Amino acid sequence: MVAGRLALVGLVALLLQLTVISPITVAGARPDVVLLFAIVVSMETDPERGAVAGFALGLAFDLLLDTPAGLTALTLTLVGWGVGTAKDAVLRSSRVISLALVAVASMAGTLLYAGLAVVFGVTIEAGDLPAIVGLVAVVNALLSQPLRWVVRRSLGPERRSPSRDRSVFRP
Amino acid sequence: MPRSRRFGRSRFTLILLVLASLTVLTLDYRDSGPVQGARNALGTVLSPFRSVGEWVATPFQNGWEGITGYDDLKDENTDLRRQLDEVRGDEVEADALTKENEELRRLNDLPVTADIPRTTAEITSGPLTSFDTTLEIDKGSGDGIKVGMAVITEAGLVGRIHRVQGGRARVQLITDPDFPGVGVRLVESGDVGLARGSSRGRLRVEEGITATTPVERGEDLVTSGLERSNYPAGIPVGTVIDVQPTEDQVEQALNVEPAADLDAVRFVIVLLCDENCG
Repeated sequence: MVAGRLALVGLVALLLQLTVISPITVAGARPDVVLLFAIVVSMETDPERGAVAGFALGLAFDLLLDTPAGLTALTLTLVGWGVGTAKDAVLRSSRVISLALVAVASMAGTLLYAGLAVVFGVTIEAGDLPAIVGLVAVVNALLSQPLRWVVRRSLGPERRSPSRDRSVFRP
Repeated sequence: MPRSRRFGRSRFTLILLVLASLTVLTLDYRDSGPVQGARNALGTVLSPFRSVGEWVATPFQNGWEGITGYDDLKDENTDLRRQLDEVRGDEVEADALTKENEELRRLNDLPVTADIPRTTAEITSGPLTSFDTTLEIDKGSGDGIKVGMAVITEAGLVGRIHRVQGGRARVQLITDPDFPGVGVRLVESGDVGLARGSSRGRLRVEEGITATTPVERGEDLVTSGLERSNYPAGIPVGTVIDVQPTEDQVEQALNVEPAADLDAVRFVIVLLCDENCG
């Protein structure tokens, strides 16, 4: 049931990316809500569920893109797991820390995707990366609070992060 | 569940997911059936959801563009009116020259772009991420579209058909760094070079333009249409915005702004000729 609700939120995030977010360009860069979904699920649950959510939505997104299928799935799996692990290492709960974690994870995820893309034969113009990384980090940080609220609601009170019984990001 | 056991299970899941991703990457690299089938299926399944999403989102997008781009639109409108007046004066002369050129090409048994069968398609989806440089169109194999065909607008070259999926096809934009080079010719000097995708949605010509050729900012480039080219001769490709000598000082490198507005294109024309169109 929880997985179904989370899948529905993921589907809505994917549709938002396709219809609303992708047409927005700033300095040739486009925001990335699919990456944000993996980050937020990981922050609200644990590394395992973050990785699974990242893999599932990443794979669905891959099938709509012309880049090698599996690339986004691999990136979001690693980002989801990484964010969940990093979150567990954070000792103090703070909104600033959570925003910073989203921004840093977004930057790392974008750079990881670019790096893996190069490994799998896609040409990436290095000159475009600063604008892309910056935009994705800023937009994801701004959208993270509402998406966290939605993900939290879809999880229900009893299914949130089991890590140390309470997420460090929750008051 | 103890923390160490949970962490162990989490790592096991991570390894499984990474292996699954690598398997999908391998299957796609080999261009195998399951991945293509999944692409087609997901595209078809999501199509109605996307239509509904776009129907809901379009008024908001238009409203946002109206708020943020009003001054730009006003300036653009003034500029376009000025350009329209200039173009009206040149139009008659250009038509006459085009017809004369076509007649001469026919007399010499050379292909004429106007004679190539074509189909008009609507863009159903633009690039989806910052690293995506493709468009999706609403025509596919049933309309005679094949991989490699040139895609143009009235303004100029847009790209080539990269993938055909049933009733849809994906167009790789000319600005994609992985786009196979396009043979181009400088309109003034006639020098022929090879244009490739570059950063910030531009093209770069690094081969073929000798250092002694006078090239000025604003000069137009068209497809060269050399033998066995997929792109017929004379299709506008772009305008030179910057000229620099190459490292060896023997040739010139040109930065080119595409002639077609790739961010705002709504309809495209697919030239239904997949080889030796030049």
